[in-house]
Amino acid sequence: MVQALPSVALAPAAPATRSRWRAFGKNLQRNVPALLSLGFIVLLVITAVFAPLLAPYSPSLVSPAASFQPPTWQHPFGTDLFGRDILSRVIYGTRLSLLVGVLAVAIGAAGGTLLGMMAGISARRAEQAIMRCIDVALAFPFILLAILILAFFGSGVQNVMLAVGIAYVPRFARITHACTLSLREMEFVSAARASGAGLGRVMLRHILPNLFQVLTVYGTFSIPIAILIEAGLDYLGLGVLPPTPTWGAIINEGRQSLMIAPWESVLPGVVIMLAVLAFNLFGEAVASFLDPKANIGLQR
Amino acid sequence: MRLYVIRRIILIIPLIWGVVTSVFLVIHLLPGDPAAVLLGPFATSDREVALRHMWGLDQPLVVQYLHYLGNVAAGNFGTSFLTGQSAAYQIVTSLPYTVILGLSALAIAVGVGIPLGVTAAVRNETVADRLSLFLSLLLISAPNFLVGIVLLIVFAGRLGWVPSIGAGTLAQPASIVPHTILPAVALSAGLLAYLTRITRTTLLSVLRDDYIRTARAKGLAGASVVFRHALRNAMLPVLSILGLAVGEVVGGTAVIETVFARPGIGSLLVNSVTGRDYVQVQACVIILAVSLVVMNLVTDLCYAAVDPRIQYQ
Repeated sequence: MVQALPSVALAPAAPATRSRWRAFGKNLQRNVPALLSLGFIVLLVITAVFAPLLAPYSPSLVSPAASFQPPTWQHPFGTDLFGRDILSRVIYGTRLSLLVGVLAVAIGAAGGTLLGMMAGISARRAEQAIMRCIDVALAFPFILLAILILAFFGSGVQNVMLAVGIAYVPRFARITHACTLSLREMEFVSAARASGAGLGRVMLRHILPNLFQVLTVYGTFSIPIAILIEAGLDYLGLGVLPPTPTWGAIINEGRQSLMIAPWESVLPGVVIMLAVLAFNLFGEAVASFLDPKANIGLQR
Repeated sequence: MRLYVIRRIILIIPLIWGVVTSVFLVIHLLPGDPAAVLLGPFATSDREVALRHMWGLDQPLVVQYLHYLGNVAAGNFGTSFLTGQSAAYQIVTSLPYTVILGLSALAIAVGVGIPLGVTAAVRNETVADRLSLFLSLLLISAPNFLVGIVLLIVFAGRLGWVPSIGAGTLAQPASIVPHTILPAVALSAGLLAYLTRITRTTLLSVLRDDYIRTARAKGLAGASVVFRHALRNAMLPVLSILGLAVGEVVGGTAVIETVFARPGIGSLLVNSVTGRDYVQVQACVIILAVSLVVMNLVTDLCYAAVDPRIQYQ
């Protein structure tokens, strides 16, 4: 859960050409854990997309006679109080949990990058104002900020996504601000300014492309954390409303019956762990390919 | 050094003001009307008006803000909508349990994680090293509530070694320990794993430095080289990570206290959000965020005290 801000190493960004993709693929072939992780992520995405085809039962099919069945071939993850099939709920939950994790990071990256670039390129006073606000936002523990925003918006899938996304804004803003500060001193930026480019054009055409690398690395590592935070909020009962299945919400429903039906809580929890593990390992492969010297991530 | 400490302490005042203000803004820009929420859909409008007047919600935002600042500065967080008790009283009665939990978790993470990391680095490329890397990777990826749930099922449920819920009472200190072990371990798990990895990585890179070779060359024993020469330098990055991680521990109390149905600021916060008790939410968030600011200051000062390269000016 701990996420250090990456050390900023800026090289002129190489465009993402086909040969670069191929180089990444070659790198990946030698990295078995990352390859397996990519496989698992693809599996999760397929599960999410084709949930209705893959789920053996409807996630909301209530059958009182089958209440609290332990895992069997018929119900590999067991059933809950209402006799609902946990595996089917986890499969449907994959949709929301992945979507919320990825979109939340996208929201945080978009908002944070815009703020960070604006702070980095604007006049000193505006920069100070933006960055002091960012400092205040960073004074809150991540999940606390998300809980506070959620208290503001109320429960619901979109609101969880927004809350986690907004909680990510100051983190992305701080990184992009630091990068923008060093980029704006570079000659190509001065040249662009001298030839009459406005601030907006400089930001979009000259600064933003050079942030791509840092954003990719930090963004990849942020997805598993966003998934964890989202699961935590749903587990606390502050996120999505029942009976919507997400990984965290299923575990929350299992709280009352923890001792008689532990499978309802533990098996979805293991799915979360494996998903986060896969994103972490794959993220590390991306990071070490894009910036071999960067010292972030899992510290292996 | 003293000047540096004073300057750093003064610098957190605007930060705390910012925290207090942003919490006020978030709570007061809420779309819902607390009076309407509390009284429910069948309330008469004059009761709502009376309640709004009692809470000062009918005054201009600026007036409310100034009142609020003055009250918070005096330690008065208002009256909880749900319990009718003062929010500060609720905070004071829950705080000890959260402090006990948080400090135990930090102690476990540091006390187990760093020695494990040292062992892994010294036994680099052995089975023990590989195993610790793998296990720590699993723990980093596991949600903290999953760790809590598994501990709860195994040690409180199946084995029955420790009680499953509650936190004991302060009146009987002996009841605190068995109630705190599982939640503290669950809260520390992620940080422990991360500290293990960081200690291992930094110690490995320090052990390759020239001065270590010199120390070995002059015939010092292996343990002395590791502990007196290498570990000191390897601790600096670990300390800075610890500063970041304190936030995760503070935030994690909300989840872990809920898993173990413990009293504490975190579970108080979660219950207040669920009950739409904004006065209490406000108080909990302020206390947690301010305590994080203060703890970050402490780690920064420790860092400055340990690293002679830090300039105090």
